[in-house]
Amino acid sequence: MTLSQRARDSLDSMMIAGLRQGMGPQHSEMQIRTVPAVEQDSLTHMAVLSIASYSFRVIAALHFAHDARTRAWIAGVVGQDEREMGPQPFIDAICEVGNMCCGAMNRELGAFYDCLGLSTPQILDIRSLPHMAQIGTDHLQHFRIDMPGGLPLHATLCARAYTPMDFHWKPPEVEQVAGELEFF
Amino acid sequence: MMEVLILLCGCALGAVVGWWLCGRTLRNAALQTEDVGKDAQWEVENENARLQSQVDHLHSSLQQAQASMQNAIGQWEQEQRQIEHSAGQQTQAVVRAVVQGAMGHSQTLAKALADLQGISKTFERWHADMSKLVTHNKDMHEKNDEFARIVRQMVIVALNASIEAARAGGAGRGFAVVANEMRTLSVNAEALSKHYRDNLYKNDLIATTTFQDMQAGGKMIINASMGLELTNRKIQAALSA
Amino acid sequence: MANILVVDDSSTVRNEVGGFLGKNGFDVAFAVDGRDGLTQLQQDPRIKLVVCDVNMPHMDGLTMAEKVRSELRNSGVNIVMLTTENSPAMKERGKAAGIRGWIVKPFNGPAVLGSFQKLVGA
Repeated sequence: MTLSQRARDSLDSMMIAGLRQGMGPQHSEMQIRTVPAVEQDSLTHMAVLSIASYSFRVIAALHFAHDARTRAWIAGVVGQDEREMGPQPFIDAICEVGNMCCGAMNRELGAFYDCLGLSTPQILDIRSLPHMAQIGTDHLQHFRIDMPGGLPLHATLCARAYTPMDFHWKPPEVEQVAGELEFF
Repeated sequence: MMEVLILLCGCALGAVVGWWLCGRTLRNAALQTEDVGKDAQWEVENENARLQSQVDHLHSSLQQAQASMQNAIGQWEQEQRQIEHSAGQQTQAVVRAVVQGAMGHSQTLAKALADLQGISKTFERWHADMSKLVTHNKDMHEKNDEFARIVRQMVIVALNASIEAARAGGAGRGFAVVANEMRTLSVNAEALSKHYRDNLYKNDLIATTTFQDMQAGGKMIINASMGLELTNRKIQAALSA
Repeated sequence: MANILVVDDSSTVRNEVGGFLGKNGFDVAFAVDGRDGLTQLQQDPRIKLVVCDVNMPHMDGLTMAEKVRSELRNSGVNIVMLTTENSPAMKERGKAAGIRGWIVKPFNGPAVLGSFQKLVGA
């Protein structure tokens, strides 16, 4: 097994922490849990990002429905007026949530692996999701995100290790402050 | 009693005589000893003088040896300084040659790293190619969707043809066979179209994740090469100092 | 004529950052990636501050910062990165390219307003 159990658990924990960061602090009550499968029926698309090292790669996908209900929710996340949110701004907002999630994972993985790169997000049809298990994975995990009074969202994490991968990560006790300007 | 007295007197006389003789012997021995002592003293003094002479001689030799050793040490130190000076000059020459060599290699490395950073143009090209691939895949989806619509239509047409053939009764038997064949082919084409569409979604996923792997991997390379360039500049600065 | 240029491929970020800066008295221009950012800087020499993402298609933010110094020879404009990245190697690369600061997303306008005012006024 190239990916140890604690590395899998650590990646899952990083994904959950990343999703919380991506959704924003106003959704602190949201519940995120692992689920065996994604309920695809109500979903239409997914935003996909990759983190790559020479020894492993991680693919993260945020699944959503391109509909009015989701548009209203995402407008709230990014602080925009729902009526002013056209199709492209909606896609951009979803991609930015995914970018924040993977960005957080990328930072945390940086403590264990020196050489990492993060891709830009791409949008795919949700019908590509079942094929994730077939593109070569050592670890595949689905997540469900429930927000009080909100719509459920789903996410998927897929990891492949080309050399043995083993590390242990746990969320920091003190939330790190982002948004401050570090002067050089 | 007389005998005892005579005996006692005799003993006393003998003791006196013995004492006188012993004393004379001792005096003679003392005189001899004195003579011997004078001789010995003279010999001792001679011996002392001789030994002193030897000591002086040795002392003088020692001083000469010390002086020689001082000279030899002085010469050795001078030679050492000459050797060190010469070695120092040689070492400096060697160090200068090593520094020049290292600087040359560092400049070669700087050029190679500058060339490597041209890889960012490759990323721009990849991104443009990926955009084309996405457009092409979208086009394939649309063509397949159109094909699926045509096939669905064919299934309906074949079904209608079967119905008409059945209505025609015996005269329509041959036509019914053709209609059934058409229906079978249409159903197979529909299944193939669905399978093809499913493969297109798999193709989209593979193309996207492969491109993202390349994109992220390329950034990793650029960052690593930038790190090497910075280290190389620090090396050059240290070598120039 | 703008005095701040916001460079990000996400319209969400451009709107969020540009909206806040606009409300606080800045004139804001926008670019969608590094290549677009360089074009904007060439056309508008009054831009004093660039707030720039790192991970963007076509040309990333650090490459853009390097080209601002090497190709545009503009050493007067202040560049601040706004990104999810936080690696020491990237920050070193940014420092070598002459950037003035680094902000890890999410953007916190009130926390950086004073500093931005100084960088624009400098």
